[in-house]
Amino acid sequence: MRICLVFEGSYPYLFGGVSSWAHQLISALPDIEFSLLLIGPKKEKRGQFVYELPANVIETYEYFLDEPLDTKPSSRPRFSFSPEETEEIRKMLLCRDCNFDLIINAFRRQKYPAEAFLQSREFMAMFSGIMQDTLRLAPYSDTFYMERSMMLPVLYLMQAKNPKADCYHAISTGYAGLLTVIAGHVTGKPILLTEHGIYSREREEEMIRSDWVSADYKKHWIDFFYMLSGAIYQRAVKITSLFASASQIQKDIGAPADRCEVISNGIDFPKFSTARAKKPDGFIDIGAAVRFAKIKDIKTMIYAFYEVTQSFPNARLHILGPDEDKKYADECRELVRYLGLTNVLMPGRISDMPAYYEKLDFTILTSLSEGQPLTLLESFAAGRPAVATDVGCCRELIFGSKGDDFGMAGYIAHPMDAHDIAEKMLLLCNSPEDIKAFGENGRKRAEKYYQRPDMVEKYRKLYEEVV
Amino acid sequence: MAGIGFELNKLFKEKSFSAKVRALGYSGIVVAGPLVLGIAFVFMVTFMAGKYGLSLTDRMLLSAMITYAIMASLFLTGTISLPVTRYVSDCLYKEEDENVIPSLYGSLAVILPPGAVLYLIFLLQSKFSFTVTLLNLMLFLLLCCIWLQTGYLSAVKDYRGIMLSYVIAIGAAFLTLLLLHLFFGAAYWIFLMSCVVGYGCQVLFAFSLIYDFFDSDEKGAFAFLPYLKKYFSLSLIGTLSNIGSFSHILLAWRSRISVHVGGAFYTSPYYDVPAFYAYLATLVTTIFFVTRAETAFFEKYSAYFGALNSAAPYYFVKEKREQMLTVMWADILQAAVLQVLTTAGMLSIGVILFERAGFGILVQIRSYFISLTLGYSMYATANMLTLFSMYFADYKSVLIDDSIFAGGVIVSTALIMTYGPLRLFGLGFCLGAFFYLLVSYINLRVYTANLEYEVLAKKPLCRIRKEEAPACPEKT
Repeated sequence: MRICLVFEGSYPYLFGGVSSWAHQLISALPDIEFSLLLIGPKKEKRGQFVYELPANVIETYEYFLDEPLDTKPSSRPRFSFSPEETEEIRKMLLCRDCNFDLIINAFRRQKYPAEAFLQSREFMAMFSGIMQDTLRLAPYSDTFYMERSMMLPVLYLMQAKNPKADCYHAISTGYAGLLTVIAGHVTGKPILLTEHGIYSREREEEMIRSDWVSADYKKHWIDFFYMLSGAIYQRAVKITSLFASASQIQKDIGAPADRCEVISNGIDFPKFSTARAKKPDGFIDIGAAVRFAKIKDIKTMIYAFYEVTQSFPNARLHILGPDEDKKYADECRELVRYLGLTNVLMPGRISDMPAYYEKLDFTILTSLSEGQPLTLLESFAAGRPAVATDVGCCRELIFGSKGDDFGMAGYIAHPMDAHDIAEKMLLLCNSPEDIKAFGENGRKRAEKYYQRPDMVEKYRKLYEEVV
Repeated sequence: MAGIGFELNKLFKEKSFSAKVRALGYSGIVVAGPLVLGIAFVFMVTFMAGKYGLSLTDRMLLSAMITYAIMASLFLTGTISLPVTRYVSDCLYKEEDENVIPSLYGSLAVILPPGAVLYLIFLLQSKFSFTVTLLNLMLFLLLCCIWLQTGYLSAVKDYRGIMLSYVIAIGAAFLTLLLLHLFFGAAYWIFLMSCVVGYGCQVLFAFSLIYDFFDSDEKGAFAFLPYLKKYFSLSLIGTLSNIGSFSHILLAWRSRISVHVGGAFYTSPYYDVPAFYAYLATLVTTIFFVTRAETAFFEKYSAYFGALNSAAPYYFVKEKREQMLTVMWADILQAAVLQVLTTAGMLSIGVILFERAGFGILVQIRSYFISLTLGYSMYATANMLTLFSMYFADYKSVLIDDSIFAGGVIVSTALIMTYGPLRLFGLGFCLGAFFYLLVSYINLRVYTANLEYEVLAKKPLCRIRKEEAPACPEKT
């Protein structure tokens, strides 16, 4: 059996939750062959894998969203579409639900590169028609350039070559979802979708916050990403998420309920559960197994720790992760210096986390957005409770879901609220008994619900069922 | 050229007849002055040479020397004049006036040395005396300066000053001739010297006009050079346009009707004279373009591109486009009608004048005049069409137009002058101009039929600079 996994901007270029999950899954299924379809933002990353690919990864295909920017103008490209295809392409340009099967066929049979469509008379005619009939008051040239930048990666992927596989499994919607839809349509093979975070919701939040997109076009971009989600939701035979509320969101935004399923993350419980209790040394050691990235909001973490040290001077903070965003990492280090904090350790990525957990009392996670963070599960497996922000699945992990009576395994705080995070940290700092009790609750939870063999077995069954 | 056009347009709008006559005169002087001045020099010098007793052969040689210098300098400067003009336009647009004058020096530095070498090689074949060779060379170099200065003068709105410079040039040349004749008699070189002095005065006066208008700065004399590469097509266009316009004259100089006047100089007076007069037919369309078509059109053109570059919706952009194209085609039609009337007038009056001047007895001169007038009339209209294409930066089409023009003129003229009857020698240029007109019309029609496609969609998918690249969506 060969499964093609489709990633966008994660494995194997970056460390992180999705990458760890993918690497562990592939490694845990050595009898299944995997191909990788990879989409990255910049072509300078080609081949720059931070993971050594397991032996059962047979081939990789890489596509980069900045590659079509180098496309030289085709000399008067000509495209020929049927009236039905033209109508569907128009809908795609308007980011409405459209028939991607027709669109894919239409572009794959043209003799010019699909992205040359954006330089063609046919596109101009369609675009001007849309501006005349539908977007009558929108700025003409601004909308033209926006439409071009929006559709360029979509068209670039339309004629993408796909590895042969028995099933195509997208690990997000967005461009990965689109590429999976294309592969499935061309080969006739089934497609699957697993979402760790809800891609379209995350893009929506980013668009709303962003200052690089004009306010006039934010809605259009949001609709664009929902259109891409809808494309794979309608075609995937199975749509999985990591936790129940994520699955509900998928259904809310159009995923057919009968195809949705929850498969939780899993960790190497035996490995992490070997971590022994920390020997008392007069300090409370707080760990954060996170990479230096803005999404992890390490600056708020540092501010919160500063507040903790005002009333609990014997606290130490360990930030254990690589500098994914070098500029941000330097800013965090500068903040530590600026606040005069001497008890913040930043040793980088730790290869033997179970051993390092023996130095920690509890962990902290201050992310702005999460799915089902592996770092929390590993912390629980090591018997360490956690303070986490109320994003993604964190509440469910800390307090347990329906039917889970193990009790709380830490505290939940408001994202971006350094004071609230500090208060929750102080609750644990001032109560070693709670640290021990909550840590035990977490360990039991991780042991029962979040073991990797269970997760791997579920995916194996999923593949067998689908293929 | 729009600067002059707008200023002249104000004069045209004045109600008095004299203002309109002045406006017509000024526009003619500005757009065609240098070439007309050259023709005037030729006639002045040859007329005075005749008065002072020079032989017909010597007079023809003098005329050929001046004509060759005009032609050679025109061809040479034509290779860079359009990119340089484009550079100057961009400087004016960006309000970087201080870069303009240095670019004039830079372009002179680029053109004069190789031009001097090439022309000297040509002159040495004639084995003239040192003085005559030097004066010919100086004449050529001064004419190169004048052609290059013309592009800069079109931005200077002092049209009285420009006309004054021509008057001073002719006057200085005439006075020099009189003075030198007093001291040296009818020596051959005094005629060339008078031209050198005349053109020299014009160059100096033009410099003073240019310095008055633009800020001067010693830096960046060669800042225009990248434009030669970036706008190489403009260099080709300028060169091909000159080839098309004048190669038939060069071919006539080596044809069956050519006369060897001395050294390496050959002319064909029976062809040259009607050609120069026929060239005057282009004035009508050129003046009309500068004063009316370019100004009225330019306002609509600015409105259309302003709409495209601002946040205007499609219905507004479409409306501005239709207004612009309506004005453009109406002006083209009006210019074409004027040209037809002028051509008809020139043909009827010109033929009579030729007969009165004693040329009429030669059928071939009359037929040259007719065919060349028709040819230059079509050339003028085609040239206007290509100028509109240049407004839309459709350099590719203009290059095709001018290639067909140059190729058509050379091929048909060469064939006719080699195998055809003498009286049809002007037909080659006429045919070339006809194809030029046809192709330039078709190209402009096709381009403007789908303007948003040409302006927006055909441009490359732009490269985003790193500092402007949006942040990659964060992944959990």
